[in-house]
Amino acid sequence: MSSVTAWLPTGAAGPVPSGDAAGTSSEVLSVAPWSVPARPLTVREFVDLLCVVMGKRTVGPAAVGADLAYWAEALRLAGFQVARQQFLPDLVADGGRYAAIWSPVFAEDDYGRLERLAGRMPAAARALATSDTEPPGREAAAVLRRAVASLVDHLVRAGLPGSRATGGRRGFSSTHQMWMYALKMTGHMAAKPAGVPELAEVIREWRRPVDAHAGSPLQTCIRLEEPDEADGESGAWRIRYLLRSRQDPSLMVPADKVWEGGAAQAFGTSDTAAREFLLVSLGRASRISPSIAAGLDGGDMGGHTIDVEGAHRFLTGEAAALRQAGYTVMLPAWWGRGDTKPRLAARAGAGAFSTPGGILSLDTIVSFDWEAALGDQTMTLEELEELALAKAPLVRVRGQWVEANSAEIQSAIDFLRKGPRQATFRDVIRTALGAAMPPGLDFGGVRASGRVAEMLEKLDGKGFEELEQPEGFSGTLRPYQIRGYSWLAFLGQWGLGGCLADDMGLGKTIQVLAHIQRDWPSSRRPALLVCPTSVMNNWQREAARFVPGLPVMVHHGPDRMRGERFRDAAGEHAMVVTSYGLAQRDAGLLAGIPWRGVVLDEAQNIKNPRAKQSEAARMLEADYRFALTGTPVENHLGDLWSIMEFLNPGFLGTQGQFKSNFLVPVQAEKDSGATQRLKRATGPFILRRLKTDRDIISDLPEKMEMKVFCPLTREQASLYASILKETEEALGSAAGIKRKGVILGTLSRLKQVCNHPAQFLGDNSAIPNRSGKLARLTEMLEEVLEVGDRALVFSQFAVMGGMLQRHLQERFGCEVLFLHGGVPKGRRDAMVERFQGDGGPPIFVLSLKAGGTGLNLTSANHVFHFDRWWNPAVESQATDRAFRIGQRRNVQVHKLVCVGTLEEKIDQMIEGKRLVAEQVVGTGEGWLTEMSNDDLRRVLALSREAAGV
Amino acid sequence: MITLHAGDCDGTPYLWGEATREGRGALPQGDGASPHPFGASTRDCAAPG
Repeated sequence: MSSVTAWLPTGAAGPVPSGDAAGTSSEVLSVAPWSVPARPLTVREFVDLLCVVMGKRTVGPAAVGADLAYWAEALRLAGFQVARQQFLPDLVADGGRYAAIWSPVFAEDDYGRLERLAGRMPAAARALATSDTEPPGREAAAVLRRAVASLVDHLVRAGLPGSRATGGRRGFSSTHQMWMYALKMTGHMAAKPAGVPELAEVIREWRRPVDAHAGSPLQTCIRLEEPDEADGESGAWRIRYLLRSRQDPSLMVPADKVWEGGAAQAFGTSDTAAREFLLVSLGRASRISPSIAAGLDGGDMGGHTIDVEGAHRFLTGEAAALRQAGYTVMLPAWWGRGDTKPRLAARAGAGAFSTPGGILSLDTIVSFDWEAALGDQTMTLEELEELALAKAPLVRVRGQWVEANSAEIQSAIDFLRKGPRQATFRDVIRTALGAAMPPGLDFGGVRASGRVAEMLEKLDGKGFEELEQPEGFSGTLRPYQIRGYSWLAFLGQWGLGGCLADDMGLGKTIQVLAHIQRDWPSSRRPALLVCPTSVMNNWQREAARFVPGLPVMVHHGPDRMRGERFRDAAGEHAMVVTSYGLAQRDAGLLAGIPWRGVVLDEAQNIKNPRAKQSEAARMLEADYRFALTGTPVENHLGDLWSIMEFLNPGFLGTQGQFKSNFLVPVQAEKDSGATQRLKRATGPFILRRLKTDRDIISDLPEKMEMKVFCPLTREQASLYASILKETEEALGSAAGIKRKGVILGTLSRLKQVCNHPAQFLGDNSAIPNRSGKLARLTEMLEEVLEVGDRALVFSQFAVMGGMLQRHLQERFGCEVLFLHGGVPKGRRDAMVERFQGDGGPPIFVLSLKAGGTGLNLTSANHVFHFDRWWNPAVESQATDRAFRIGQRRNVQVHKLVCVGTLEEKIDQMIEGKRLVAEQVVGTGEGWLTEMSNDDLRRVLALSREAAGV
Repeated sequence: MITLHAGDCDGTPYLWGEATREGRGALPQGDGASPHPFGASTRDCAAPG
């Protein structure tokens, strides 16, 4: 560890913490030098560190500062340069020695990127300096360029074979060979070797065209101009050269004027420098573009004409190569519009149904008409045939230039001649939504009429029927839930699959239950519900509460039914609930049943299409398929195909087609057209409402309380059972105060086991995968963070709070605050301030005693009670940390309860006596000690469903 | 909690740290100086002004 000088914002008490520098306090700050302990890094160590922190807010127990995160972005930029091979070798004087380096070459677009990134450089990234008398004065852009150069050099070297080999080499046959060796290995040349300055000069000359171009205040623009309209198609195309100022891009001067001596007046540079730049620049352009090379032979610096084939070659290939090399290329506006390909549009009529009874279904055959357009001009078949004969690559059609690719025109002609005149309604939908397209041709959509149009409109969400709440549904569906359940029914009726992706807490479960309740009396066939084990209990409990008359069966555990017995039992139930694990293990059994519907809860479980559980899900036969997820599927494109393939098989094509049609264009090429097409293709099958939507917010109460039923893991269940056994023995001989002590001790130990085995054992053992409650909390917090919400997590145990903090911090890679009784007031206030501030840590764990009163934590809109205090007043007080004046959003309160344990039974007792609960349990848990041994046994007993149902 | 910072000083990258209020004390403190977030020492530096 050494020491460097850091120039830091400083107040009276010393340097201000980085999070406070934005100025939460009114204190006047100055920038002052401080000697801080720091560790010097090699570039390799620095790159390794940046790779570790990239995209993370914490690493292990440490937070990633804004400056460190910034350098990770700089590394990304350097990587981008290297990936595009935008670098050249160089030999530069470095003190008394020469260094062989790989330096980045910035092209036109790179300057914008560099400038934008430099503009975002946090002050901390420039805080270090060699001097403690003068603050660092270098401009952000210069600091960034130097850093990127050093990173590029490292990345290029790291990619060279054998570059990490150690050991020097002596005896080179030439300085050139020594340079090559230094470029690959050490970087430095031997001290003052003969011939090195000369080699450096040669390399400087070799790089000169590139450096002159990259470092000049001038820029060369190349403009392609179409023939005058009066000249018709026989007129000449023209390439013109212009120079423009990098500082003021609106200042453009024709190259011939510059050549004649107009540079000084226009740009303030010398005429000689401008001429030299022009010569070097056009010379380089001529090596890239054959059209320019041919034109420059004529000696006219202003520009030259080219024929139509040359213009087409320039548009389709040379222009892009010139741009890549740093030139500004200006092309006619129509070229960039992207509608120069022949485009086909379909007209789908619904006049001729071939379905018995005239009922429109997905398999109905409907008539189809195709028409072609070029640009925005509709073309007849004869016109297209004429164009095909002309064989010119660019043609003017009714005054507008279009690219006439003869192969594509021929495809359009072939398609119009032979293309389908009939299709199933399913294919019409796919075509209309852009999920299926004529091969090799642009597609202009479907213009439908009659009932086909009506159906397509309904798919667009316009006017599908809103249903009444089903009979037998206990409770009241909110207006948006009625809409969601009607949407499910609409898709289900058509055999189409839908993904209900509402925000957590909006009631996806009850919308599905309402649908099954409505469907069951007429279909009498079971729906299969597949979900993670952690939520199976929840489905069971919610069904019992909202659709109590619906026969629900759980397929889980070692004693589950198999074979014919299962088939018979399933047939008598409206809903069969099972886990993803069993859906895979019992795939054969489940696939043999003609399900009315299959519903996948937490559908991100099938995001990997090749995973066994995804394959098992796709094997299931059903009339309708629904997927539920609280995470915005549209943000996870990679997962979308798998979920859509389950919902509507084949709709988005094969995985390979999806990749080339959507994934690569959207993610890698940022193609907004592809993004729109994908949205259009999947939009009708994804319903996502946010709790912040204006029409949803008005439907929601300000505070929603929900129980979250969780299973125990096997380890938890066995610990729970052994504590019960010990208690039984101890209770037999205890009386009076000793008995009370035994009971309170048992309650505490059982609650610890329900929380986490490691809390009970106190052995600092591993945290993940050992607690049903923690698994569920983690899943739910993932959804909370995904949509940018913040949460409070209360536990009555400080030890558990610490475990939660560690686990959640590692799991989500972000800082998690933890407030317990041992935190002094000053730090407590700082935590609250940080949590409430913009960009503060999104999760705040609090022990019930330390955080239950007096704090204002309205940044949170989710409150989790990880364990229960059995005192509604205490829990409400804690909840009110978030739900109080200043809260502008709806607050969701999630109370986690382990099914089949004392937690559920005490919860039921409190719910049953809500009115007197406060009196009964007002003193905490003491009332439980007043129970008889038999009553107590019943409360504490572990039921079979506890461990994973 | 420690916040990690990085910057360039005369061509060499440096890693340095800052302790948040909750985690102060985790970094070495300057001799005789009151604890502050960067483990900084005032000994060799100009007084903040």
